[in-house]
Amino acid sequence: MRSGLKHSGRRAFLRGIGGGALMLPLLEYTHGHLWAGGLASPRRFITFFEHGGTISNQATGTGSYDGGKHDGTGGSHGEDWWRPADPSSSSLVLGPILSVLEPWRAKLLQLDGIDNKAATKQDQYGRGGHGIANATVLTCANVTYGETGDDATPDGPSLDQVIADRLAMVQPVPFSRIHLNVAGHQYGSPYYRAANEQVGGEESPIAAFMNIFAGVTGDGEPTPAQVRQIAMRGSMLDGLITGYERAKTRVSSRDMQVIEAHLEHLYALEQELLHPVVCTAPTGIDADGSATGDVIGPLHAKLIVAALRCGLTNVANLEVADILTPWTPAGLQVESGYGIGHSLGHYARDVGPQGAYPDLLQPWLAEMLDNRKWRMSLVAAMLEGLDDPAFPEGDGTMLDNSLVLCTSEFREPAGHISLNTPILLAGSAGGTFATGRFIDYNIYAADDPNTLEYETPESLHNLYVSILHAMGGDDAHFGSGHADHEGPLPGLTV
Amino acid sequence: MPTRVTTVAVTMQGSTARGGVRAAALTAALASACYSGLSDGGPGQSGDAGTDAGDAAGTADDGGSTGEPGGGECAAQIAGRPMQRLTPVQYRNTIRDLFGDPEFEPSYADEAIVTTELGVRQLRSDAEDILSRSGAWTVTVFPCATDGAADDACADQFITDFGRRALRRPIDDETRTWLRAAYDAAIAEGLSFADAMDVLLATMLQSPELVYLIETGLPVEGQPETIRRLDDHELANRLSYFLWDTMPDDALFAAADAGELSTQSGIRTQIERMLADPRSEGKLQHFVSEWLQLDGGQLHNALEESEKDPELFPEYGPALQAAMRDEIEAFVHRVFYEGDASFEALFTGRDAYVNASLAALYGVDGPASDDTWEWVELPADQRAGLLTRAGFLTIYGAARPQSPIRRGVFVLEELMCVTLGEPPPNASDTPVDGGEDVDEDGNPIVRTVRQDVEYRTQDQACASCHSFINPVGFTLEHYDAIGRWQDPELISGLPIDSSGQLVGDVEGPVADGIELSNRLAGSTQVRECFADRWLERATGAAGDALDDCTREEVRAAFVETGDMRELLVAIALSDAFRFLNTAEEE
Repeated sequence: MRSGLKHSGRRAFLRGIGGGALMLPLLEYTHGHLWAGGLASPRRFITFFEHGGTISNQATGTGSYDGGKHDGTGGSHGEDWWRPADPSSSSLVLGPILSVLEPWRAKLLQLDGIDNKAATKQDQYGRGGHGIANATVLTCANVTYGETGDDATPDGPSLDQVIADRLAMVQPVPFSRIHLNVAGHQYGSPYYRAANEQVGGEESPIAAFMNIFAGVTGDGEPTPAQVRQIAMRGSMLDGLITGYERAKTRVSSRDMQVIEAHLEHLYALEQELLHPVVCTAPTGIDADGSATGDVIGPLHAKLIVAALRCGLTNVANLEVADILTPWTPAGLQVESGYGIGHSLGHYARDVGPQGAYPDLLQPWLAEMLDNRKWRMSLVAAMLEGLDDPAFPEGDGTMLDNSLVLCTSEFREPAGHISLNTPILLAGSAGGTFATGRFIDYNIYAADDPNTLEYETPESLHNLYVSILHAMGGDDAHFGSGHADHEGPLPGLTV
Repeated sequence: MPTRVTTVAVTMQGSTARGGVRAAALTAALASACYSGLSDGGPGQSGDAGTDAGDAAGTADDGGSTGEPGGGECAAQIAGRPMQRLTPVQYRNTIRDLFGDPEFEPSYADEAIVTTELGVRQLRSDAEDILSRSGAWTVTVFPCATDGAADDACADQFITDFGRRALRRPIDDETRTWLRAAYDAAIAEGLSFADAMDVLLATMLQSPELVYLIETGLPVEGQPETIRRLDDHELANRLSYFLWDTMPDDALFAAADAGELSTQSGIRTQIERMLADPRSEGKLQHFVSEWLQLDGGQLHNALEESEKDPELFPEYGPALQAAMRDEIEAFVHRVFYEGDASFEALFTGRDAYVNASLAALYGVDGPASDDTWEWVELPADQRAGLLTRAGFLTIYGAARPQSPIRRGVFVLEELMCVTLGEPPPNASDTPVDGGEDVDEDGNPIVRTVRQDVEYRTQDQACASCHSFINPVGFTLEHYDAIGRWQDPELISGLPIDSSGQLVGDVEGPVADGIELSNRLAGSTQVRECFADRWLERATGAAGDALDDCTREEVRAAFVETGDMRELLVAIALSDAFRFLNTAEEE
């Protein structure tokens, strides 16, 4: 991965700056023109990951607990407000939570009946706990347990990392991936740079802006301050890369991974210096990580859209912790245990007529619905930005050449259910996927779309193969050997 | 700020037959009782048989580590451990001390096991921020004015003097060559002398020698080549970050330069000096906060973010929350620095530093205002030590009810080092709040929180663990969700039943929180657990069987004395602290 551009590219660039005119190396720097070989149109991949599941009556479909889905007569409620309002319709009819995405319905593809089989088959209870669900939902990997199940770590990277590395080879960008986090309580992160290397996102919009747009010049000419900063950063990196290469000779092979990871990050910083960008930086990014989620979330979405428009990255992740949302119209309706979002989700198994809190069903649904709709409003903000006709790409918009994956580690949070993972795709990845549809891979749904019975041969392994293919790959399989079959999901493509 | 997920309990795997089996055996018993459906190798399966490494290491009967270069009995029996990276707190303190800039607040917040790209960015951002704060530096950084022509001799002097402090050891020829090359390259790039010196400084601030504790050690006579003794500067670094969470000071540097850290007496002199220094308190308080999980845990927010029902607790708010934290810190300070550092006193002490609001919470006479603080003695029939203090009881209470389950889990996992494993996946997380309810026939009833807990956990899948957890937590039922004494119960109006049961080496019936605290204070298992927590903190490794020799020495000393200062001394003098095992893992 280490290129030979360490010195030659940057010094040539600096000499160009010294002449007063900014030489744009290699690529054009308006959106939609970043794409070098291989693909017929640009590709970008965005993940939206919300912790804590959704409003669903999904059960385990196995063994000792309720099979299939809850019918709402027991302790658990019987609602699924993530699903389409009319699952029998061949075209997509958005359900309550996703209704905020109605303007983009024709560009959405909603999928049910996809299990996280890496979690369910490695979990002692067959359903996926906090640790294993987070460790596998984007990696589909084999896991190793630490002291507790919550310490599960995967033996491979997450999908976004794989795609980022591949796209960077054909579509070089300053940032291989951008990862922003609306922080709060969450049980680990699903994002992994490599085996056992969990990564988290930047929580502060201001810090993210400073990092992502530091090298961006709005009018084609870097300011003297920017020139100086680039030169000093380059010199720093030269010294640090040498220093960390030296350190490799002084540490054990076990610790080598740490030094090598640090070096890879330094190389990534160097890559940014080699690809200065000319575009308009976003304005109004004025909050740091101490702000509340209702302030931070929209700013993060704005930053991601701006970064993608500027061609600063091919891959972006917006991660939302399992936060409570007192700012929504419903606000806080029920006491959420210790004030953490997961405690709110846990009411799902207690608000049925036989549960401990049957009287809380309606207020709980109201609070959960507004909470989850607020999260989707961040997706709406990104889709609005990517689908803006003022930023066309070919015959369509940036969204048409993108694929947005919206998901969570659980379907139903109270039972920690990793079956029937909530999946929403937006964008067609350059016309690869046929959108505006709902597909349910539950084998019982073909006869009865509203059935409570559940079983599926499909896993996230298969979905991610489909996504890799959409990004130009030809992978036969992704992740561990826990899927029922290898290969892509059937029925997604045009 | 939002909560962070923190680590859960450390198991005591691999304990040897010579001692320390109590927690492991109890863990095994609980694991088999709690989850009869467990598959092999899944989480919650603990209490595995110890290795033979500890048995073969010799005994601790001869007094253990001698501190001599050859090491003690345990030198050959230590675990390899991962290279440590400065924590965000350590990095902040290091920078503050390096520049004499106590106001510096870094952005560096990387606590991942392997450095993240975000962390590397933050290090760069902080280096640039530091450069911009030269007006706030109170120590001499550059040995010359840098606003003129290039002065290579100045750069060399800077590398020697500041480099020595930043990289925490004398600059050897290879390091000098590297740093000088970085400076020369910056000059060759056309940067000014000032900018080149800034580049040199920023390179040091992000260097592996500053960010990590790179240790290579020295060969040890009579030991395998994979067993190496930390050299004096490496040991100085370990001591400093263990006891102070910051870089060595001039005195510790000088001791290392003089070779005084090669003997037990030399090390002990520095340790005692460092423990008496106010800088040790930050580490101590940080440890206690983490131990008590005052900054949040897997299932609860930090003390400052814990929300309570304003109708039930009108006096509760940010001021009281802050006071609760201050009270605990003052109590810990008094025990460790003004008392005899007695571990027992942490559980039995009744002196409390209170303002008006806290005095009212505890039901004692106190200051007239919240701006005035004084020491009082809490009622002997109501309070004893940390487990009966408001701050602790608050974080293990929900918005309305107290939480006997979470309090019981804390005692078992964090104080007794018992691993309970994961709850079944459908275990409820909704508050068990007692009060009005209906029975199985639909008749209205009123339950206490205790009765509600018993009702909700009576199912076989729950009872196998809750039969251990609940009786421990019930002993604290007299303390409501913000730690006020209650009788009758605030939620239900019914009388409190605080009878319970302890397990482990102090098993047996317990009447209330006072007796709980007193029994835990005298528990060998609790002391061993506490010692393990500190040893883990010192070595960066948890529970490896190869450290059994050192662990047994440290435990034995602490169990006997209960002296927390001597515990830290014993750890810092131990072979596991002073030696390296560079053998590669198979």
